Amino acid sequence: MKTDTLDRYSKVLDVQDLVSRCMGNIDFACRVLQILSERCDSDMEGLEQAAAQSDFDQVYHISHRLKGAFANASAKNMSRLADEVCSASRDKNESDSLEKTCKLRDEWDEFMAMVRSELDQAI
Amino acid sequence: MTKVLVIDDDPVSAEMLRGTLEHFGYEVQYECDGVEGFERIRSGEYSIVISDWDMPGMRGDELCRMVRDRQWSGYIYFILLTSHGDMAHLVSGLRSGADDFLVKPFHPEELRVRLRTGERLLAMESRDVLLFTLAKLTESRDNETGLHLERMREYGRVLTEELSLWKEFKDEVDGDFVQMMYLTLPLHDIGKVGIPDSILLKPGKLTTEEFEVMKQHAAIGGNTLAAAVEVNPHAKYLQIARDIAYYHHEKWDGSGYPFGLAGDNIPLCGRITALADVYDALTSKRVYKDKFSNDKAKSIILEGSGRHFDPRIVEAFLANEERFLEISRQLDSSHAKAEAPPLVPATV
Repeated sequence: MKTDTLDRYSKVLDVQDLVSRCMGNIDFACRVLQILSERCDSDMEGLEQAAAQSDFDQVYHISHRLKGAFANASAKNMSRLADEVCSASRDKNESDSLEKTCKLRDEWDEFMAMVRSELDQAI
Repeated sequence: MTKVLVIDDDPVSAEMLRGTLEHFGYEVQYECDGVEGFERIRSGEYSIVISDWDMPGMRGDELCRMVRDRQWSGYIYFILLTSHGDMAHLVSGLRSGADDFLVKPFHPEELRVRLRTGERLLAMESRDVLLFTLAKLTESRDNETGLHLERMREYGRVLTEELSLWKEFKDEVDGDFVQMMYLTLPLHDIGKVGIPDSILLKPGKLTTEEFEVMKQHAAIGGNTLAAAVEVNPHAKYLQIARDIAYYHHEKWDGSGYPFGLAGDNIPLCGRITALADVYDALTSKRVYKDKFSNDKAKSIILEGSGRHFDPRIVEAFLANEERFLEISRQLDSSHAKAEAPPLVPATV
C-alpha cells in the first residue's frame, strides 16, 4: 500500500496521525490496519451479541478493548463510539448500549468496505 | 540489546508497541494475557515490562502487584498502558507499584522518553550495586574496620563541596563531581586485593622489597578499573574510580607513585583522595602506631603542602578543619564493632 491508498481511509481514520505514530513508516501503518481489520471483526460480532443479550459485563469488556484498538489505529470516531458503548454498559443502559453499538457497526462496515475494495484491487 | 516484555490482549496495540520498540532498537517479546506474562517475567530475562490494564486472566495492576511482591535478581521497570486515562486509574496503577503510566494511544516519542527514564533508573541500580560490591571487596582486604572507607568518603565530600564553591574549580567540580567522588572514593585501595597477605597483613614495618610490592596496589586497582572503563567508556563514575585508584599516592612534587606525576598533571580526584587518605591514616590507630591528635595531623599536612599535597586542597582542608574533626569523632573506628561493617550503598 502507498500513501495515497492510506489517504482513502481518511474518512474513518486520522491518517496523518497514524502515519506520524508509525514514524512515517507506511508499511508499519498498513500492518496496523490489516491487524485491525482481521482481529476486530470477531470482536464487533461479539459486541453485538452481548449487547443484544444485555450482557453488560461482556459489552464493557469488548467495547473497552475496541476503544483501545481503534485509538491505536487513529480511528478516532470509532474509538469515541466504543467509549460511548463502554459508558452505556457501565450504566447498564440497554437502549443506549444497543444504539451506540449499531452506530459503531455502521462505521466499522464502512472501514471494512474500504479494506475489501483494497483487497479486490490487489487481486 | 534491552529486552522488553509487552503484555497486551489487544493485537493492534501489541503491534504498535512491537513496531515502535523495534524501531528504537529494543528486542520485544509478547504475551497476550497476565498469567502467561507473569510466567515470562519469571524467566528473569526482562528488566522492562509494558503491560495493558484490562486483560483476560489477570489485570495489569494485579500483575504489577504480583511482580512487586516477589524478590527478583534485578529491578523490573513496570509501565502500565491503558485506555483508562482518569486520575483514579493513574493513582491505582502507581499504588500497585508501577513505575510509569501510559495512556493509549501513545506517541512513539513519549514512549521512548519514558523508556529512557526506566533505563536510567536501572543503570543507576546497577552502578550502585557494583560500587557497593567493589567497596565491600576492598573492605575485606583492609585490616582496619569498614569505618575507614566511610570516613574517607566523608572527608572527600567535605573537600569537594568546598572546592565546588571556588571560582577556579567551577568548571571541574560541580554537584555531580561531588556525588561521583562520594560514590567511588571507597574504591581507592581496591588494588590491595592483589597484594599477598604476608605483606598486606604484616603487623610490623615493611622491608624495602615488601614496600615495593605494596606500592603495586595503585597500579593493580587502576588497571582493573581501566579495563572496566574500556568496555563502558561513557560511565563517568568508572573513570573517576579508575583515577582515584591510580593516582591517590601521587605527590604534588612528583615524588609519588606509580607514575611520578606532578602538580596539575595528577587528576584532581587523586589529589583530593591523597589528602583524605593521609589525614585518616594519621588520626586513626593502626597496628604500628597510635592515633595522632588533630593538631599533629594538621601540622604534618601543612608541612606537606606544595610537596605531598596540592596547596589548594590543603587550603580547602584548613577551611573545613572542624568538619574533619567532627567526622573523625563520629566515625571513630575504636568505637565500632568490626563484625558489623557499616558501609552501606551510597546516598548523597
